[in-house]
Amino acid sequence: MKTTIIASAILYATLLASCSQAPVSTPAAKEEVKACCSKDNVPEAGEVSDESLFNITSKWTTQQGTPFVTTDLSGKVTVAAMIFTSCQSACPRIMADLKNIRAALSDADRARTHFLLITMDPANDTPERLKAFTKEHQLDSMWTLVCADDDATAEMANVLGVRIKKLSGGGFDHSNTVYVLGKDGVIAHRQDGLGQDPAGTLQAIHTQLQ
Amino acid sequence: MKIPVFLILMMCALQAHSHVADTSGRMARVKGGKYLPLYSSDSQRVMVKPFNIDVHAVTNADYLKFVKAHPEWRKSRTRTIFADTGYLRHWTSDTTFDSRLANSPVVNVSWFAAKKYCECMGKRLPKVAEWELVALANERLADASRDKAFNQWVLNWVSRPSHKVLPSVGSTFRNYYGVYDMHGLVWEWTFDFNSALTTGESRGNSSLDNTFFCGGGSFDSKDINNYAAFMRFAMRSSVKANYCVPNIGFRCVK
Repeated sequence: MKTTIIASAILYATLLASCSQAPVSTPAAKEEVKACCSKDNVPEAGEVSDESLFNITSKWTTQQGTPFVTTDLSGKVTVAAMIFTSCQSACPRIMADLKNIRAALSDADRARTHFLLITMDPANDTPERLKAFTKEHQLDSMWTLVCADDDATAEMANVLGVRIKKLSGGGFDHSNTVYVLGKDGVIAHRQDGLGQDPAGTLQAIHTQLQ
Repeated sequence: MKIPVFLILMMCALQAHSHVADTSGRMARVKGGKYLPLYSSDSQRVMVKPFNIDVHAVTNADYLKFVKAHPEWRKSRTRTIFADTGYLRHWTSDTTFDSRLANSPVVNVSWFAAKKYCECMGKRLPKVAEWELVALANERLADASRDKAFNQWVLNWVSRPSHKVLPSVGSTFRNYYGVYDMHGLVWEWTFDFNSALTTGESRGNSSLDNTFFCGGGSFDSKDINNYAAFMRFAMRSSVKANYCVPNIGFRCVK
């Protein structure tokens, strides 16, 4: 009997600990469900801008294997793009575009501009793979590469408005956009398409750094 | 010692009871199968694993419970990055709406809101392939794509303007799987709606999506009868995840 009771208690505790329970109508359980499903620390109204990427609370991992959340970008000006490292055609070009942007910045701006690469291919782009990619592309410490699970990846893509179609033969069709994020996490500028004149992007970075 | 244990057991019982009593969460089993995406060749058939799908779309009453438990999703509290200003525009306040709408599908909800709702129910949004697989069914057949009358019926619905007052869930037909209203009531969000690429933004070597606006494109499709599927494809390619639209609702799968 005692074992059953303990087992029931453990079972119940487990149910509460998972986020997979539907809201229930009992007042006692309601708070528990709410606590369990609100595991994301949603920012209070007014804390961050309505349009800020800092509203995203999903958990990411960097190429160093360290945790990353969007608010880690707070106070920084960041150039961001979604990529996947096994990409044969468009990604090398988006990498070239990003490097061109970085090279074209003034020394003062370059020293303060961060670069964020978000993988759209979490199945293959592990932190180790991302680290190898930084070596292949000789990316220094101003570059952060991050990966997360499918849900977080889809959410990020949808916040950025990136369209991603997984191809049956491997790889993805996707939109190619470079984003400039202000210190408040709001998208200040977007450069759509490959091989674009980066003048607008450079200007946006400069403005955001002021 | 006895009392807390009793309480725990009772809470379990209450939870189990409320779960059974709540028919809005009823799901139907779909055995899975193969789905051929638009603009794909036979080799690109998507294998869909077995899953459960909500029998009904999520209603206003269902959604009210969610926003009560998750105040950050009340319309006065949502952030535009996750839901545009149309969010729950048919509700009269954070927690009220015309009582006639209680059992109608909730609309004016963004993809982010729909995704979060399903997540908190221990479910998820269906993938396009899963949704479309279920949508192939009429009352009798799992795959009614060759049924001209069925295709015409679906097409008639998508060609009509939306209802002024949305009917209740269950007001159209019950399909082969026991699922209601896949057609005839509202459009529905899917997890990977953003995989519909129709513009020049996709890679140059992808022939399929760039042909969408070309008249010949439809003849490449294996499913030329299913015009409604093309309309859903166009709908998915035209929305963004924070859009809140008066004729897009959702249901969850597991």
